[in-house]
Amino acid sequence: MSDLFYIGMDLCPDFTQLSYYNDITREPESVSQLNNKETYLMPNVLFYSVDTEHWYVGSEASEARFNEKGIVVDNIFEHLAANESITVADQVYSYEDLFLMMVKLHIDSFLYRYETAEVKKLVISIPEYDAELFNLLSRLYELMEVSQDTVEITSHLDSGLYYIFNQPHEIWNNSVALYDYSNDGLNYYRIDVTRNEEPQLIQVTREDYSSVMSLSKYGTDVYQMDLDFAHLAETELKKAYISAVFLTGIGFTNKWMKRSTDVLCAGRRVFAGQNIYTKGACYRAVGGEYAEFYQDYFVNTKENVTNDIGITLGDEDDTFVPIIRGGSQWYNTSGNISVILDDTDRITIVYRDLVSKEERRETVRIHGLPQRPNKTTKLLLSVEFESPHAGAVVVKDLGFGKLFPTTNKIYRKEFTV
Amino acid sequence: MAKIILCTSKEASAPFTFLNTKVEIYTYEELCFYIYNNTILISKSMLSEKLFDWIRDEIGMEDLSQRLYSLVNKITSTQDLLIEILSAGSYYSVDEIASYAEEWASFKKLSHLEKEKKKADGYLGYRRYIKAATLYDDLIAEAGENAEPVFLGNIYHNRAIAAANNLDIKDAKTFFLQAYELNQNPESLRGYFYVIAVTEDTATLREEVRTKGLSEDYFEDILEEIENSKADVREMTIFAMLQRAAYNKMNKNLSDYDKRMDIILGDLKEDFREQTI
Repeated sequence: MSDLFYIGMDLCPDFTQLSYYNDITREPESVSQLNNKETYLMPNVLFYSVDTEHWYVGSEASEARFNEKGIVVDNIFEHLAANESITVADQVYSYEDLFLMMVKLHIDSFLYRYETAEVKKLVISIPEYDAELFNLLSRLYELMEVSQDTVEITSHLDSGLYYIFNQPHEIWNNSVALYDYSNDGLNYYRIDVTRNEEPQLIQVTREDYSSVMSLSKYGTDVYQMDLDFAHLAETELKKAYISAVFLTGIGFTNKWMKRSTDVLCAGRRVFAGQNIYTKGACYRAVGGEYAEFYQDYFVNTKENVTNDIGITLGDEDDTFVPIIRGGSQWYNTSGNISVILDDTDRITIVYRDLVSKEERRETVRIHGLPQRPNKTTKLLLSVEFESPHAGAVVVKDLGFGKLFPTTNKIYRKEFTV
Repeated sequence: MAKIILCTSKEASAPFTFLNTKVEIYTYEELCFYIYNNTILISKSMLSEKLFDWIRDEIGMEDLSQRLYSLVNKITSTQDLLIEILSAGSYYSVDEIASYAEEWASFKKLSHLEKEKKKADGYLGYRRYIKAATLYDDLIAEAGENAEPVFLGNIYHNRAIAAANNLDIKDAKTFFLQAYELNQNPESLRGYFYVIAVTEDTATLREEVRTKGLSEDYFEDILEEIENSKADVREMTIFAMLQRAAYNKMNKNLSDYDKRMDIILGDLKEDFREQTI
């Protein structure tokens, strides 16, 4: 029988990190490079060896390029945006194909370490939602020859939350700070936990400091960077009672923090690491107890849907039936229900704000359907989002089996919440 | 009261087919609708393991399937089994099921001829014209001349519809006229004129209308009705295909013409075959 792995992947433009769930320690473990056990950052570079006619990825590619004849493919993310292609060994590859190949090879390079290993669930964490990247990665399951629901795509923010809320309770008993200092600059997230209200709330506030603090701005002047960060942290940390600080990103790898260390550590626990997102993604892959905080709290972030959206059945109890439940990322939120019209041609859509508790209703008339006996018009209602606050309820006429065939008519009711 | 019914059972990948009407059912709701509206066409032999297994395996209603299995040997009434099915979901309300039971009770009090007519009407509704025609012929023979005229006229009316749909034009006209003589229902006379309108020229129709002492407006109404029906036909897929075939024949594309005509004739043959089974 194969070993089944839950895998978390932190996919950044330059590097990829992997972790897998160790079911003995019951914790995610980072996957190191094959040829260098000291590092977990796998470069996003491909190498095609003319000698062996094989593709290599990551550190193996970096090594093979010096030992074998072949072609290096790097800066794949950049080329992806330009929609370019490249010829390797007389074969034309689009960068989209190469990108998916790279992601798959990263996973394979881990799986090959075991005699028989398969992916039970893979969660890929990307810095933030990007439609093209999301759509491209949504095709990965085909290349991996696994079912569609085996692969999920999420954001660093979501993975960060999974990581933090799977640490001991005392760490997130009060507010938590997360500083992400990537090549693009510094981002700050304050995570506040409210327990004395219904619903219990995890509120994430983001401050974009990338224009104030970036690695390119300081260059080698780490002294000034330390002073600026200390000042910035002092201001932010005063705004709430923060008991733990997490530092992640390439910007925190060098030992430049001196004054800022004093500021951060004053009465707080501080954790620094590069594997927060990959491990958070791994927790999400396992789900179950590791996703409990999503059940216990309403998680309010800039990318999560804040409304339950559904319909009322129009019965005596005014029963609400959800099509989608709020509380998850808009790009991972979808749902559908089938209903039958009984003595009506109208549907009442209900939007329930889970934070403010306000409810809004909209009645839509389903017009233009052929005359059918009562109760023989079946509709498929689904909800799609194009952002956390906008989307559409899509109504499709299903007819009534072969008794009354569908017209295939589709209606869209767009909404903002 | 206007409301929305939530579908909770899954859709079958393989349908359940009621063999006598060839109606294919894919969901619990369709099953309920069929039962509610076609009880007369459902015999106890149809409420068999095949249906109970389909309910369990295809639409995932295991509890209902189990209940039906346990009931089928204890009770003899078809009605009780059907009500058990109708009550298992929310497609029909308690009140609707109660009135269904009442209708069933009234049905039981009908005469043999009335029951048989309802059955024939059911087949007619599902376009089983040959089956319906046979039942109507039996009914006409059995009812004899002493039957209540309106009832017998209505049988003739439906017999005419079955004949018209089988393109038995002569019989259709005769039956519509016999129906009208007996039931004095203007719809039966109208049926007679519809058959003439689609099989004869306009002058003949006008003459027939005049002979029966009806006005020019009546004649115009018939023509308008026929035009509306023709407009409906033009919306049908088969009509579009026929037009395309004719166009291709005109342009000497005979292989395409043959292909399309084969499909059209195949569909019509299949349709006719289904009626005869």
